[in-house]
Amino acid sequence: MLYKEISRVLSFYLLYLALALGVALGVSAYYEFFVAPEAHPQPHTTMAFVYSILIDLGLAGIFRLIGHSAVGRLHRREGLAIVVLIWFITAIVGGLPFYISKTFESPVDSYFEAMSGLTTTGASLMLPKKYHEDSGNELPYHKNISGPYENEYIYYGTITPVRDSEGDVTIEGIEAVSKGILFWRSFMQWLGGMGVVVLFVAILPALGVGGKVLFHAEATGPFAESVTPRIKETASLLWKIYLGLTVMETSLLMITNKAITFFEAITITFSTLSTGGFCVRNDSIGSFASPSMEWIILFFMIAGATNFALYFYCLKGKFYRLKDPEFYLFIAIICGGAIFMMANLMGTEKELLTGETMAFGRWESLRYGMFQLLSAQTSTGFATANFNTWPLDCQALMIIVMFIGGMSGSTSGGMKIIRFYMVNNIIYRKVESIFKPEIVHTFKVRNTTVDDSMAMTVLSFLIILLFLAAIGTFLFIIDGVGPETALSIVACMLNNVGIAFRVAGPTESFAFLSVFGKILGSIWMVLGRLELFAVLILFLPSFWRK
Amino acid sequence: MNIVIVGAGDVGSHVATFLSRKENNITVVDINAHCLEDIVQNVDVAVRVGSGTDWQILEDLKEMSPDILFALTDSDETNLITCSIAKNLGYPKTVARIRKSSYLNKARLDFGRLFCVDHFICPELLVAHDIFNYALESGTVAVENFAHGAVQMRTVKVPMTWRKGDTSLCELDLPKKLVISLIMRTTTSVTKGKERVHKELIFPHGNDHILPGDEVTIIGEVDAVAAVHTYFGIINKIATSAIIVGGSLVSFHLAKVLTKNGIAVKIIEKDFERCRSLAEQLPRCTILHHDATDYSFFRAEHVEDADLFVACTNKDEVNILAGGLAKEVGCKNVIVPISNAEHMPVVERMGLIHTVSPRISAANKIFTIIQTESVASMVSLYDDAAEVLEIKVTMDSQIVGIPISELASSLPKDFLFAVIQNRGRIIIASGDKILSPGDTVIVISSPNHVEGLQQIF
Repeated sequence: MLYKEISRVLSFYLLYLALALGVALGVSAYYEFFVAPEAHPQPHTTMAFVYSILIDLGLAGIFRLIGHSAVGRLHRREGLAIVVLIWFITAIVGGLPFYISKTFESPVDSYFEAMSGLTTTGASLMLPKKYHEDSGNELPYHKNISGPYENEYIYYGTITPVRDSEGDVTIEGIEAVSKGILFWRSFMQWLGGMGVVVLFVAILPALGVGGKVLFHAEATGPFAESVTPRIKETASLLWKIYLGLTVMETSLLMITNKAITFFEAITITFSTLSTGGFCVRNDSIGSFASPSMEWIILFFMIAGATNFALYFYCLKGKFYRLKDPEFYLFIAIICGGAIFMMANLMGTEKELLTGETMAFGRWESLRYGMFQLLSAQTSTGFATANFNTWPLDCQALMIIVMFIGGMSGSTSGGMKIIRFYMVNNIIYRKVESIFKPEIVHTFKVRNTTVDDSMAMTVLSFLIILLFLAAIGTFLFIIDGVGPETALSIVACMLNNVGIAFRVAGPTESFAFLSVFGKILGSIWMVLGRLELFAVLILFLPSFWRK
Repeated sequence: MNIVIVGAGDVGSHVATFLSRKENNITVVDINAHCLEDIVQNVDVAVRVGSGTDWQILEDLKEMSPDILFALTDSDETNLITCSIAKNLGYPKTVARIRKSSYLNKARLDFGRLFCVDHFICPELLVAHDIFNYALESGTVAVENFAHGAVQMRTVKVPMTWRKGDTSLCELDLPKKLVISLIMRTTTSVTKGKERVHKELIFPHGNDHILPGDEVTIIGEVDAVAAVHTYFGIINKIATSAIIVGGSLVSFHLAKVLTKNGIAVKIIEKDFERCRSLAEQLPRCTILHHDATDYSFFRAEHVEDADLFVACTNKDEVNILAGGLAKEVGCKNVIVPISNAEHMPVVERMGLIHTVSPRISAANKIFTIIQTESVASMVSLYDDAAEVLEIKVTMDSQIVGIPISELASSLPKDFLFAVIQNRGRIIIASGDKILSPGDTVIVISSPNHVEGLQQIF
């Protein structure tokens, strides 16, 4: 392992990370110095970002010193190590503003929130603190989950509310967090969505061949698909498309909804396209209660979960490229799922996030059902309704589509539709060969014949994914989480979704997790985001041996 | 530049590596998926499994609007057909690699026109000519011609008898009409008990020195350059006999050109059938059927008396071993073509002279072809550490009319003007000379500046 080479690249990377932190610093400073104080009563965090940047630069300096004699030659092994290290380091450095600004009191919480943002999971720990009305002492939350497995959870809130001069709580929960921090949270999702390393490859001069290893370790899907021969161009092209979609969504949100501020529009856009799911309001998207906004977000969730190479081909006028089994299957799953949700939701009682209840009409069941289903499938994790009270078959379908995920080469999580398609094909051929052993079959995906080794890779991916889901559920149950919650939060972490069921449902947060649960969750999130293999190799002893 | 390369073999993959480092968009096509996998892991290129003679693949690849297609497979016929299909599909430029030099012969047919090939490359022939250039001048490391042969570049090794190491270049009374353009200094230092060979590439300016043992690259008029041997005191000896080990295609071309110049050639080849066919094609050579790495056989054949010993089998390892043995027997001039640049230090330590192998030679030639716009011909030296460029000065260039000595401050330090060619006259680019539009200048530069140079001129 060439530690010097790794240090050298990491030092460059940290410089770019400082730039990203600088953007959040700018937003923070804007709200502290240029906006009337009554418009921003939340605590100010400008200095937290300044300190974070200084620590980041300090780290860059240390890595620079270690790697000063590096020659700039990256092998595959170092490339893979760099990608995984970058993800962990970004989460740690990205968590610093949360901790320094005292948004979270525990460093583990800060790290969890940052990792959840970066991997575009969107599982938040932000929960208003509860106080005793008379004595003012902090009270824990008591949650009882009834059903066949009863569990009781006792935990504390994390976010100190904003009080007015008389000491009364005026704003609480996510809305009581500084705008700079909220921006940084969503911005991290946006960066993590297309990939911090892909961005790094796109703008860093001359990483050379190493850049290719980095790119493929981070890009989603089983194929080393590149739209242009040179990896740097591919990376910058993907980012340009991403940027274009961002501008489109922000302006659409601003035009259609006059009540929304620019700050809200841009942060929601960041979280939508990256299929992240952080929202700047306590009641997620549901609090806007605007159908047009929900449909726009729905559209861009699908856009974020579509293979970005397809946009490139469409821009070039090559619409025949849309004739792709993965794309067809994606559309089919969306349509089929929407009809299923609609049929099952109609007539049942709906409970909005704001607490109102009423029966679902035909179009309302489509609006809420489809939004929630796609929020789960594209791994975004926005909520508009309390699906915890929905029929169980709807909830089960949501967990299944979480595992299927979006298209390869997109920002979504899950195993990706292309793998789903390949696994189905492989199984079909295997079963057929049992009664017709002479048959010779091959099938093609993206102009490549799927050979045995590729089939092996896809199947092992699926097995590892299921194994991790099982073992994760088991570990959470040991940690005292109820089985239904445990299964749903593992599906949520591993597929980077951000919504789960029962105690982790849409009206709740993940604050009930123990420290062990948070660390376990953060590892499961990186495993999911980097598609298992890249992280798993770090656990092989032979990877570190000379 | 968007480039399609057909064939991911030895030559193809080397060319792909070389061109992709120069920031070109490259797609490599080969039938063998395993070859492509190797390339993809090491080089930043796109790949496509399939044959170059499959028109549908070539048509598909047109989507990335290629500027040029290189057909570099081992089969001449495949290359020719690939080029022909590509050109008819609308590729602007095609280049075919060939192994049989008969395709270059235009006496009866012009194969370039017949198969729509814009340029032929025969790397084996290029290497044979390279080796022949050495054979003519001992003590020379490399020879290259520019400006249709009027200007020559030559790298020589300064002998240990050189006594003017303390005189700076501007005080040295060098022969007229040439310029010292590069100095490669090898110094060995002992640190922590380990011997370290340190190599330093100098872009010489007036106050640099030439030390004994340096490799000096000189550019100038052909006659002046030829006379440089006497100036440095290099003993010049014309070869009369040569031994070639291995019956490869390079050996064949080399034997042909050597015999044409009256040098007696012996070829040692292991494979009997190959020996027979060589004997048929080269009636004036002595063909010996024997193992190429047999010490006592070398003794028996009096290898020590040969003026030139060339080991050019297709394998670097065999070449190095055979070369080492020949040196051991006592032959003075041992030449070994090396295809893997990483082997070069070993070869140098053994005291062998190395030349480029067919694949590097092909890469150089290809680079010349793709740079035909304002930068006319190029040679890269010392494994791409320095590049020689022939540049046309355009009408709207910023540097017209300014004496070169005053330009120095605005140009990078690892950059040097060598020769100015003004309407057929060769002018050595000394400080007081002025560039005018339409001139061709030959410059030496570090490869980092190549992009920028096109803008300056």
